[in-house]
Amino acid sequence: MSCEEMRELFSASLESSLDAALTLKLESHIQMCSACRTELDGLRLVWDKLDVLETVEPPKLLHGEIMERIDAERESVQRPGLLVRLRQMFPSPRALAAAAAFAFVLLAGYSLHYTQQATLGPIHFPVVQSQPNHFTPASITSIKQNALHQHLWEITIKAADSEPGMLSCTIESPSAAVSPSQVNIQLKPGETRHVQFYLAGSGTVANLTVVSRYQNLNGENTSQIGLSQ
Amino acid sequence: MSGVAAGMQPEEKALIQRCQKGERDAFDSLFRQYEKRVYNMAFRLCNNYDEAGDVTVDVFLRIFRAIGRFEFKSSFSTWVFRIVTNVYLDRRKRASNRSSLSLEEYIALEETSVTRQLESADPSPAQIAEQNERTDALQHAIAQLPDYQRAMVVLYHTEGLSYEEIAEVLTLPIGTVKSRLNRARLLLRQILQNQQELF
Repeated sequence: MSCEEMRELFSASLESSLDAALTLKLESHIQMCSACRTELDGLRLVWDKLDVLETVEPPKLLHGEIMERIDAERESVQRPGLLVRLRQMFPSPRALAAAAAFAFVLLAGYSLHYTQQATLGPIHFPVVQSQPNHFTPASITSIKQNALHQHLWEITIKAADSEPGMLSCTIESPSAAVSPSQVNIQLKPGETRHVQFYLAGSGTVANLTVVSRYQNLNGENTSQIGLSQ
Repeated sequence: MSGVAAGMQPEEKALIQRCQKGERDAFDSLFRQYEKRVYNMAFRLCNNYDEAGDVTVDVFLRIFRAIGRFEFKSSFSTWVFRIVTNVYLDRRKRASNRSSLSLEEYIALEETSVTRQLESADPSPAQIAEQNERTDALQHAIAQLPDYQRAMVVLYHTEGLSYEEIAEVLTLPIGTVKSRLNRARLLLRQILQNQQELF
């Protein structure tokens, strides 16, 4: 059997699922072929590493986002169609026509108002560093409101290009209205990461303060930012 | 695969049946049970935290829409993993026109980063950073595999599915799964061989 054919047997060999005859063939080949021996040893090492690959934690907001989407879908499925609802409300054709004319007038006014609102776009807030001239290995470059979900806010963090190694960064939100209250992330040099926060209905962004701590080989560096409105 | 379905816990079966009746609390509980596994599988496939989150949301929306058609003929987890794989492969198809790094480019990049690390006069990295780098290298190597091979590696090595279950998820013969997985592992070994400092 060729080396290529032997390599087809490697996984089965590492799982001890080869029959006796093939095991014997493979073993005698491995003794003579150093390339296949090296390949098999390397494969065993990769296999060991794969089996102990660490799990990652899902973002804390993910479950809320999933259920929000599910709720929206449930609502759209459960609500009867517009025509069905109109027929229930206005059983006679004359009443339906009058209602349609009234609705047209309302919609025309609303669409003008909506166009004016829509031009505002997502709201951005300037970021104020507590130590503006102090070098930080990573910095928060922007905070903005999600264009579609008014309760979702996104913070953009960028690691400095010059910092070697990974940066550990903790973002803390002391306000009770902000969820999650703490997020831990790791950044490579120059990496940009977006972190989402959920702001409860009664909370206001003016109260939001974020403290970021960066831990790297040069020690700990803390910076605090607030929002100016 | 009715044997697998027969092995389903009665509590899980009852929960799925409540979902099929449209009970919101049941969805909430079921999704909490599977959220971490789905997110982890999505992350291993996408190699990107943000995309893994998007895939996870899409997966649970698909489960919500399709759970009424789940007939308990396979295990629920196998059914979920099939949805994760399909959502991922669909997204890859849609994004196929986007540029991606070739194997050669990847290896060149990794060699550059290793060289930079060896030449650096800075103190050696902390143990946790080294561990992270090793995990990153393995994760990046997985990301270089062709889509189907990547899905197989993730299903087998990180989700612990058997060859039979993977064959069911991907609707492939078991022999094909075994031979493709073997090739995927050999390719991983080839990619990681260039990072012996880390492995």
